Amino acid sequence: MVGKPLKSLGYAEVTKLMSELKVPVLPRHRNLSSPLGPEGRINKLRQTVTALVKYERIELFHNRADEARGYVERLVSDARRYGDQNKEMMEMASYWLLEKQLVHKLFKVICPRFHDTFDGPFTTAYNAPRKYPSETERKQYFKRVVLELKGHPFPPLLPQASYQGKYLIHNVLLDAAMKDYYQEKKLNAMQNKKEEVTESVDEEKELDNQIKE
Amino acid sequence: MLRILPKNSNYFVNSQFLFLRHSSSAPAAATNEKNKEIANYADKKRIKKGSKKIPNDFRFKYQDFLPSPTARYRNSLLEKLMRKDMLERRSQVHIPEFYVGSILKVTISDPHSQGKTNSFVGICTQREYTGLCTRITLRNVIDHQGIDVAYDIYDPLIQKIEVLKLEKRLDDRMLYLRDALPEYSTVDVNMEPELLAEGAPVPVNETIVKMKPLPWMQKWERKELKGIENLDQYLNLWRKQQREKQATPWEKYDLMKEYRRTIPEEQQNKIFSEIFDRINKINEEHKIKAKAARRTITKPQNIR
Amino acid sequence: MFLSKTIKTVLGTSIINDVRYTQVCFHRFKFIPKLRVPEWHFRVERRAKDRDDNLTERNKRFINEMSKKDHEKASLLKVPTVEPKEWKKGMIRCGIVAKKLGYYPLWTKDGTRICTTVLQIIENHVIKYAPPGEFNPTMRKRLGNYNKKGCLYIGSGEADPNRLTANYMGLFKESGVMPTQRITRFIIHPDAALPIGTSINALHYRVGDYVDVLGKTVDQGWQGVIKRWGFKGGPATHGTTKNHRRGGSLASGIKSRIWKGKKMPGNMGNRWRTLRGLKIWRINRKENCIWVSGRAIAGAPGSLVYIYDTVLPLRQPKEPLHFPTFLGDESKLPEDIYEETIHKFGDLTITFEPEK
Repeated sequence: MVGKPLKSLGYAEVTKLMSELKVPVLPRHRNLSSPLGPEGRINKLRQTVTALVKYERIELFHNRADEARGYVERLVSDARRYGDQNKEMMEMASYWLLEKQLVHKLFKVICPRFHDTFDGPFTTAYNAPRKYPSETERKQYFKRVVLELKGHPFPPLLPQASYQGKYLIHNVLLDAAMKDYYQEKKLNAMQNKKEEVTESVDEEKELDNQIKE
Repeated sequence: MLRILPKNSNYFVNSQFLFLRHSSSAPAAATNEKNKEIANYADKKRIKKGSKKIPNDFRFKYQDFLPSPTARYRNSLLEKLMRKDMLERRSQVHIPEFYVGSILKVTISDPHSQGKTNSFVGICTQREYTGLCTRITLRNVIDHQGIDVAYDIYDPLIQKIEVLKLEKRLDDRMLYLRDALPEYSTVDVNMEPELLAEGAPVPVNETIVKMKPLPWMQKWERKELKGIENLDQYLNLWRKQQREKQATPWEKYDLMKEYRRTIPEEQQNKIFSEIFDRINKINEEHKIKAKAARRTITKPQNIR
Repeated sequence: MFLSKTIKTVLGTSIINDVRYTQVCFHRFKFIPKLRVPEWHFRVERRAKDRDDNLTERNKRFINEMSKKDHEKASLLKVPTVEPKEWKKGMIRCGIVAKKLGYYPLWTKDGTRICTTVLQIIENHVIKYAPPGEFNPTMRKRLGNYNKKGCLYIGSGEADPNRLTANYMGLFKESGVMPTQRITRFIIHPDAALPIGTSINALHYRVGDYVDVLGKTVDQGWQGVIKRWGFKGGPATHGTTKNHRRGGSLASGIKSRIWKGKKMPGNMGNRWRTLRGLKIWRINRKENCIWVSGRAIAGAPGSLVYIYDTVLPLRQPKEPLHFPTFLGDESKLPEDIYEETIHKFGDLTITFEPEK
């Protein structure tokens, strides 16, 4: 937003504040080769970012998805912070979103989805199934990813987190084993009268609390 | 068609209130200032217990405390050790707030000069590195000779760093002063400090500089500098063509490149909240010392 | 249509014991497979980190706790007291595994700046001691006479026991130390032997002493002759055809063959290199860090290096070293120990007094 980026002189730029991305960021960008070079790379990413904002769930190759993810996160977090009245924010949004209606969608639909206190990530990425080896096309060998914007209107791809395997047999057995272990510990403590009785019960609660956080 | 969102989702706003925020019909609280942040954005964010509210100008005043953004060189222990040493040094020397374009006076202990001290007044043309390695370059023209002197801010030989004129310029780096007319780099060596009211915003000096004819040390026309006057008059056709060819207008929109050059807000706050108490204490002590020093200077020698 | 396919296949993979086809390896650079793999050829997910067992968070933590319980006796380790021994010149004591953190400037009391590197001594525990005669390696190094020298095995770095094989963990059974990421052998004088379980920290070294630091240089990959050996190449202009970055002549007519070791393009970096005679300027006993002169220690920041007492004859210690290791009272020493000539940052600004 400031102008031509300056060659790094070993210090962090502080003119602009931005939120931390909660998405893995590699130390270096991916090249995404194209005939136009760096400009072509940005053009490709613009297309992906636009598509994600438009369709809210897209399936593509891993490299492009991972690169575009950072850009979408930055765009959404900045749009939340600065709003649509900021001239430079508007410029940035209209650059990245190739359709004008999507700029409105970003500020009026996507940003309000998230609480002020929600840090991120605003997108999720799932590993999509690859057609290798049944398809003999070379391209199908590469990792595929399903990118989603959170709060999308589609039904979820994976089963709900609350259900995730709670009643599967190995989880049920482990739960029982844990309870037995702590009960035994409690009994031993009461017998020895050296350890505090409340410790074992608190440990179970502590585990639960850690998960909630 | 909107999906009805589940109640327990921790990041979704209740669907009733979806269109209340960020509507363009909201009262025009925003101005046309560049990089305008929503007021009290930090307040809106959940403030954890025990965390301090860091003032907005901390990141400019104490920019050296922020680590280098290059991931390869990031190490939390090294940064922690450095910050501790930086605070120790700052307790001995007051390192004031300054920007590129401010006029500084640096006094150092010099074993080879008379009186064993040496001072230099100049415009700060650039700032390099972070932490204990932070370095500034001051420029002045003395006896028709342009001189650039670089100082490591945390060098123990430095006795005093005074800001004679606190101001910002149109650019973050002013190495082009080397190729500009000497009048723009000349600073009066015996200049008196110009004080600003406390809490006043840092003024932006919008002087635009005129260049000497070619050759230049760098291709200034390619760097999109605002502080230089109409550059085209100095250039030949080839240079103008190459500028257009080499231009990268997409780079200013490259969000991730920008991100990799900065330290995000959360990390900044974490660092500053660590040093907050100590640095404020150090500043107060320096203020008291400065006041005491001023009192002794203004005392008149001959009383009638 | 699109949706149902993805849901089917994605949901399908979440069921246990489902066979999933996946790549065996995924190179970081572009890898376009040339073979057309047959339809029936698919690979089963075997790696622990790729398998999704669908454990609840609570159960995952319970399993972690239980696995660590097996190594509980590491914390209850009773290390026998070490007796200090007299050090004589030529008696080699054990080294240390450290992590290179990065560049740090220090200043001396007359104002000269010293470039230093900070090395953090990660947890070093003695795992095993092989007395002279027992240790007989196939690869002989410079201190080749192993008949009179013992070998100390030191483990360093934390490792998750769940990810380690039983064979590797068996190496730590005798000592009772928690399995470490790396095991290093230090060849020492038999008197320098330490009992199993002893931990070595930064105070093993003293400020003002000299050390040698061994590290693996940064891997530059396949490099041409100009970058690798510093050749000058050929002229850029004046009609030169295809000879801008080449090596020129390979040999003359004397032997009518190319000499062995001829400098040519090849893999650059990724080699073990030692920097000798580095002075220790500062030690922080709380964070276990030592400041060592220079900034050319092999390896990227964050990589592991090995520190030894120096071999250089003119940099030998004048006072006897801590032998076999530092055995004094740690709490009596200050947190930060500086070399005599180093300016502490909290001290007053350096000034020079005018000559009288």
